Amino acid sequence: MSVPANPPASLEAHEQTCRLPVLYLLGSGLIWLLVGLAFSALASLKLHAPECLPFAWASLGRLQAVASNILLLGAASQTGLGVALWLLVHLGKTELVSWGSAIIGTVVWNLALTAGIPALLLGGSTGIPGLELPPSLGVLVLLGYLLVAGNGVAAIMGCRRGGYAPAQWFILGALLWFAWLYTTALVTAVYFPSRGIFAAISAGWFNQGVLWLWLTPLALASLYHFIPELTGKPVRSPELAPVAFWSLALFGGWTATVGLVGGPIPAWLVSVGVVAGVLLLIPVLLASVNLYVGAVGSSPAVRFAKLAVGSFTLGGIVSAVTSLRCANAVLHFTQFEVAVRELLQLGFVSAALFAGIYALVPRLTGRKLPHCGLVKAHWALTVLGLLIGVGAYAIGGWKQGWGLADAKVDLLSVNAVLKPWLRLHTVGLAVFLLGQLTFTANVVLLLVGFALPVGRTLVTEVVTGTAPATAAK
Amino acid sequence: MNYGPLLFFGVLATLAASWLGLVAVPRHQLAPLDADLSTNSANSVVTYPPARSGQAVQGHAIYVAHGCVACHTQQVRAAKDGSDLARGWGRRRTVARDYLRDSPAQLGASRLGPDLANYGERLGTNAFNLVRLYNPRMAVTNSICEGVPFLFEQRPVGLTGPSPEALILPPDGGVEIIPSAAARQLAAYLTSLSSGGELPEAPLPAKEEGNR
Repeated sequence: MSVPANPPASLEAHEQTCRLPVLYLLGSGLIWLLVGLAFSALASLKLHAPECLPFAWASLGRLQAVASNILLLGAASQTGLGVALWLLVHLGKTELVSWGSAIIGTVVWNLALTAGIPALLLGGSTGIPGLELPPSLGVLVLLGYLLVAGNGVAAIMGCRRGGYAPAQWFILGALLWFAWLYTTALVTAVYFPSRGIFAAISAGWFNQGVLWLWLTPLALASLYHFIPELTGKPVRSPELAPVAFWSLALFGGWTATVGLVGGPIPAWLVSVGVVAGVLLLIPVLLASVNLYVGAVGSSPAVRFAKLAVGSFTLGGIVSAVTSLRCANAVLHFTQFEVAVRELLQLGFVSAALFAGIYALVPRLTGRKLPHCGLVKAHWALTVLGLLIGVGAYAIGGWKQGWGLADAKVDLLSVNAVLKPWLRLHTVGLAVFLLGQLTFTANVVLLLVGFALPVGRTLVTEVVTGTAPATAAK
Repeated sequence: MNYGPLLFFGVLATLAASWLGLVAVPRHQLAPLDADLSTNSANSVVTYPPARSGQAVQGHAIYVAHGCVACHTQQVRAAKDGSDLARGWGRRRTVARDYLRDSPAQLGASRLGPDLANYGERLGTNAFNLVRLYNPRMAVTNSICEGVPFLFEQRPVGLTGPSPEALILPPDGGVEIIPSAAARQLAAYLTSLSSGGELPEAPLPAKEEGNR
């Protein structure tokens, strides 16, 4: 696996303003990814080993809440924002208006998430799906986000390039949408919930919105920029890109109720959600046509981009099909739904951002990642972990769904069939986590390398015990 | 796509539309929803859903804090949407009005465990439920539920014999298990779970047949 053909050696002068905030966002995003995955693996373990860790703080529900909040608000959001800020500065040929405010915002954000872990483990959950973080901490996350995102919006307004690139549309959308989604969710679901089930609808709007109007456009922005840059070929059928963008914008927000089919909410809300869920096929397919890579290129960035596009196409189609009522009647409430969410969040979003990270790290740090073997290991373990983890839940959840649909099969028999797949999922998550640890090790080696004069690879050899030939040239 | 203000406007307008449709309008539609008042055979007014006892309300908070929602739903779907009714998880589908007393409602999205919308109607005794909360596998072999053992205290049996509060378990070397206040509240909440009342918008099946 070779490093990109001609990676720009360093940042251009105007890009220097974004160097520190982008590095900080990417770094803390990576740490949150490791923390979130560790909690996720622990929660997955407790599903088939209910008697291990019999403590209140290790209740399955609490571990799951920590995992999902950290993976969403920490890992995916911060990494995505880091890549987005660089893209805006690079594409707009402009500077960050105030890199200090971006740093302060990230610090506030990180403090809130750090406090959120013990808060959730001690039972401080709001009990609203996806918004479990105690409300005061949620407000701090929002504040931190606004400080960082404000820089992004300013960079778009100060764009010095004639016209906007697709990556800029998607990022502008994501930045404004997330601010609106999270504010609304905090106000209507957490701070002023009306009685009964309204909070569930509002939380559904937030959760679906975060997937399709925040994580998806950030990941697509990364792909729309880096795929042409790395492969040297323009996107295919570029005239489809605006249609992909506007159809995503139009339908993404209306899928709020796909997780509530059959639920105790007004019937028209469910119908709207199902229709929007199916119509999401349009942006999924159009963007997939744009971004289809083919056999070109084998650099780590391109490989992750290919994984991301593949996961996006597959996950998008499956989630459109499963929003149909007939499929929903079987697969709703099963681990199959978790598999689709993991495929989109880890296989698509996270891989798309890693494509950006692999392309950016040399530019931001002025050095290449020191160890090629670790890059290969990262790639292999990521794919293997996804195949095992998502595959296990897809197959197990499918069987679980048909078992649940047949009232003659009792729940214990359904779970007995499911149990081996629950175990396999834990293995998959652990492998995936190991993959991200190999990437982290590479970054640590790169940082350690700064302590030595340029050109020395001694540290690499000593720490990993490999011959200089396999280390990056 | 090269005109900035149009891009800003479009981005905001698309989300505004779904915000209006899926947040503002549902709130407007659901806010006036209130408990159903009907008169029973003894000519007294019956409120549905009935208020929960103070203990059960505290139990709801414990249910939320431990994230029981990770594996248990509290919603019964109509026959066309799933096997919920056939499984005996309820006599009718649940509707918005069933959830008026819960804030936040614990609808749930996973059925690794059974649906609990009508748990109070089908469970055994309170004593059985406490055993189930202490160790689900003592009540249901092969259950994958983790229970809440940490809400129980293990202590030696006193000289005067087992405490009346102790769980009824096979004798175990002079040790007894005492539920904490939180465990009893959680059990009270589970006992109070019932969404089977008759509502104009959700008639019970027998009646529905009769109307046809």
